[in-house]
Amino acid sequence: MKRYRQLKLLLLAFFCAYILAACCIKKFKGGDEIFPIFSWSLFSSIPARESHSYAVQIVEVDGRSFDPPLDFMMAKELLSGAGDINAHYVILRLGKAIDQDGQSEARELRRLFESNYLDGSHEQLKYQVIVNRFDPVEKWKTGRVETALLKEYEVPRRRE
Amino acid sequence: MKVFRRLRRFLSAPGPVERGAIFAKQSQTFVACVWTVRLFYIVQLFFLPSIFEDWVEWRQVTVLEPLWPVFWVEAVGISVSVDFIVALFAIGLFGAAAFPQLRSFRVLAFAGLLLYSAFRNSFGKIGHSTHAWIYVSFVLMFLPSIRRDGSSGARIFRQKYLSVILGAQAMVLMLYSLSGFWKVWAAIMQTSRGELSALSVDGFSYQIANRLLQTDVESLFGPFLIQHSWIGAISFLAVIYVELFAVLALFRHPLHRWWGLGLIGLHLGSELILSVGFSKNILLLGILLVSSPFQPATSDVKGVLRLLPGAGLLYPRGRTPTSAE
Repeated sequence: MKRYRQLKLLLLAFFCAYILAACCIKKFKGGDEIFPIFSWSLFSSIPARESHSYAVQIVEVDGRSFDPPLDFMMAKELLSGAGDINAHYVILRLGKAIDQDGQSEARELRRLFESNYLDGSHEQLKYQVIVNRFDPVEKWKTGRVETALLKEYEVPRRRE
Repeated sequence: MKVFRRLRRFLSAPGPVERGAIFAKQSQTFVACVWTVRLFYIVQLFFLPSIFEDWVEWRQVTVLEPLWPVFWVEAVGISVSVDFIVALFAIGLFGAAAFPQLRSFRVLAFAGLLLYSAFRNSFGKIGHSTHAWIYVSFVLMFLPSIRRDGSSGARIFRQKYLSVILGAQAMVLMLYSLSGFWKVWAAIMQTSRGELSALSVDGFSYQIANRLLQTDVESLFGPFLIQHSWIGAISFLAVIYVELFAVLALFRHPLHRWWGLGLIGLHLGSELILSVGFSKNILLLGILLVSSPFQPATSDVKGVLRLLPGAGLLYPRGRTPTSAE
C-alpha cells in the first residue's frame, strides 16, 4: 500500500512539475520550449492586423537570375528544402537575428539554413533575407505586402 | 489520501458519486489495460518505415543545431550516431511490442523515442508530433512488472497498474488543457490591450490566413472560414472548450471515448482548415481514450451530456434530470 501511495504521489508530482515548468518556460523563455517540455501554446495569439514576417527570396541560381526574386517557400521545383515548415521557422529566426543585429546567431542560423535547406546540387546561389509587412487577411485575398531588404547572401559552392 | 479522494469526487461528475467506480471491475479493466500497453508499442512500429526513410538522408547531414539529448552526436559522428539512435529505437520498440511486461524494453523504447525525436528536431525548429508519445512512454516505464506466470496478482498490484494507465491518460489530456488555457489567456490579454483576439469575430480568420501564408499551402475549408469569419469564430470557441476541459474528462469515464473523438475531430479540423496535421496524436488518442479501458461498456446520451463540463450548472450535484427536462 505504501508503494502504491508513493507511485500516485510520484505521478502527481510529475504532472505538477510539468505544468509549472511549462508556465515558467512560457513566461521566461521566448522559444516556448526546453525539449521535450513544451508550453503547448499553439495558435494562441491572434496575429495583429499589422503583422510582419521574414522570408528568403532566391535571386540567382547557377547564373540564372530571377526578376522578381523567387520566394524560397514557393521554389519547390528548384530547391528540395523549399516548402518545409522547419525551413520556414529557421528563416523567421534568421530574419529576426539580422533585424535585431544578433550577428553570431545570424551566422549560425545561416549555416544551418544553407546546409539543410538549400539544395547542394547547385554551384552558386544568391538569396536575400527580407522583412514583409502586411495585413494577413488582406495579403491572403489580394497579395498586398510591403517588403524591405535586410541582407543579401551568396553561397559559392556547397557539399563538394 | 483523503485529499486525493475528495479531489477525485469533486472533479468526477456533477451527479451522485459512484464510490470506487474506477476499480469496480478491476480485473476486467486490468486485462484491457495490458492490451492498451501492448497496442501502444505495436502502433509505434508503424512509425518505423518513415524513420527508415529519414535514416538515409540523416546519414548525409553535416550541420545540426543539436538538442540536449543528442548533444554528443557531432562529437561522435553524425552518421554513426544516427545508426545507433535508429537501431536503439527499433530494438526497444520490437522488444516492448513483444514483451510489454518487461520494464527493460519499455525503458529502451522510451530512450529510443526521446533520442530519435531530439535528433529529428535538431534542424532549427522543434515539431511536436512525437511529444505526447514521449510523455506516455515515460509514464509507462513506471508500470509494475507482471509476474512471469502472467497472472495479475494481488488487488494492490492491479491498482498500481491501472493508476499508471490513468497517469498516461492524464498526461495526454493535460497537454490539451494547457493548450486551451493559453488560448484563453491570450484572448484575455489581447482583448484587454484592445487587439484582435480569439473573442473577435474575425480573429480566427486572421489565424487561418496567417498560417496559410506562412507555408504557402492551401486548405479545403480555410478559405471558406476566412470569408465567413463568424463560423470560424464559433468553431474556434468550440476548440477552446474541448481543449480547456480535456483534463476533466479523465475523471468522468463515460466521457473518455467522446472526448477522445472530440480531440481527434480537432486534429482533423486543423488539417482541413490550417493544413496542420497531428496524425500521430490521433493514433494516441485512439489508443488511450477512444478505446479507454476505463469507460463503461454502455453509456446513454443523456448521461454523457450531463457529464459535460458546464452541464453541472444545469444539473447541480445530486439532482438528476427528469424526462420533462
